Amino acid sequence: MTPETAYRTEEFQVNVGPQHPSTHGVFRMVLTMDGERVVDCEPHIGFLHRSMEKMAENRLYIQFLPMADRIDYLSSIFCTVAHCEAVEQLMEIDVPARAKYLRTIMMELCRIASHSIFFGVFALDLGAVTPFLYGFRERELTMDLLEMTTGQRMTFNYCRFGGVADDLPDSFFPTVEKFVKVFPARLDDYDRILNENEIFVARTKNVGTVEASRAINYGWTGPNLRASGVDFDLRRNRPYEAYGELGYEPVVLQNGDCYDRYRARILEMRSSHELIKKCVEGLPEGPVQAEKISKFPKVPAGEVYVRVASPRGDYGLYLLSEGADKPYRYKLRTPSFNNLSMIREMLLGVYLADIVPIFGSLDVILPDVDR
Amino acid sequence: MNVFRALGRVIKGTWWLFVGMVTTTKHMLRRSITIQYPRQRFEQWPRFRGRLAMVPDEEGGHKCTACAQCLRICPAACITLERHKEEGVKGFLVDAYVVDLGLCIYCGLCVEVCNFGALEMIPEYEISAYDKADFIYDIPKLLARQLEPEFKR
Repeated sequence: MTPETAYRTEEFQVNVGPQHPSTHGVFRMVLTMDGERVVDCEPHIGFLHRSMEKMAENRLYIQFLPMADRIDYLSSIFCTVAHCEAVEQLMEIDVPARAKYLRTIMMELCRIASHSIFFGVFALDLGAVTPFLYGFRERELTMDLLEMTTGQRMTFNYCRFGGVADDLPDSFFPTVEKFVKVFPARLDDYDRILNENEIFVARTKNVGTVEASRAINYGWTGPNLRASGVDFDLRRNRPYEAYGELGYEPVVLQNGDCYDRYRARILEMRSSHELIKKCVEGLPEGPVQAEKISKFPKVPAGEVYVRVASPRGDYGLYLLSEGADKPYRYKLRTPSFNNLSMIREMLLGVYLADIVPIFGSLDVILPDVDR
Repeated sequence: MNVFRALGRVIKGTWWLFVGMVTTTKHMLRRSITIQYPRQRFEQWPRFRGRLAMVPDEEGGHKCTACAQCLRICPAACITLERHKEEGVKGFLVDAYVVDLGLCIYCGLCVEVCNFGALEMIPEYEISAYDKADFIYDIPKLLARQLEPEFKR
């Protein structure tokens, strides 16, 4: 027997998902394996397709507002902010300053809620159960604040054309004060549990490394892009809502591996916490809703492209109006889809055990991919 | 040299595992934040949007004037209204007002658009049922409630 035939291996196929818990939803990968190495990967998406764009074109502008909450249900306020901003820009509505600040506070709270889930679920994917419980506990603090203001825990339906639905309740200020005081200590605890943990570091450092050029070519945005060393954040480069007045410096890390993508999100939670503190201190007085806005607006003809920095990346919305009470064309550019598009290239040649950290560190959410 | 480096890694790894254990133990000694659901319950925030209900007037009837604004704004089209005109009476008279809570998405837009304050979202959230027919709420069912809402828009 010659050495070639003695060590001859045979490729086989492994089907991951669509019901696999670590695919964070309904995502299917057909992996061709050679022993423990991935030779080929064929991703399948579309299990959660709800034709959101067509639904928007068949509904009044206001009727799509609660639907926009359901595009990305873990950070639902960003989609409604984009929808409202698009309509406001076409109708040339001036949003009151207080409404802008309220939207900013809610967006940053929502970002913390989304990143807390990432922290918990990413650690759970790697086999650590404790961070999962901690992440959900801290998420509950932000959920309380969001629920008492908006009336729902996940599908808020808080933004309106020309402002927001309601002012803050009285119970908001003591609760947010408590949250601002408690949260940094909790983040320190997160650092103590995972940052230097030998198992966690060994499984994430130098795994799934993506260079800056490749990340840009695939249209990555958000924390994933900033972990690869690209200094770009919409909140600083193209400020919207109240971000221009607050001043914000994005977190940029250099390595672009799973560990840096995880760190980028934890550090972003800290900067979000700072932003909330600044917002609550500098909250201007005044109305929360522009005057005389119809509930059923006829939007003037024109086109607009709006970008919002959601926790997963830049959420883009292209709206083409022909002067009717419904949009003529409604195109969504969701960050998770672009972030996921590199999955085949990232998985080629890695070990089977590295698939879960690589997929988990992208922090995609499947309703956002399929929409 | 390699032996020392390996030994250093072992010591460092053990130290950080120990730091993690101390953190976990500290959290274990804290007061529990979970509640035992069927026996204990959350107190809902005043604005919480539970199921849709009709606001009763002084005589216990409804305030609906059949203007159908809620039908126009509902994104899920879960409201049906039957109305007729009578001579000598201004406006419409309501024959039937039926909400299918199985279709409702709890957005609260109908409450916002109502000019007569006839609708509200009450903090009643345990409305699951075994039969689809139980989700169809007509006027008497929409007027009846177990909890009183605290927040009025």
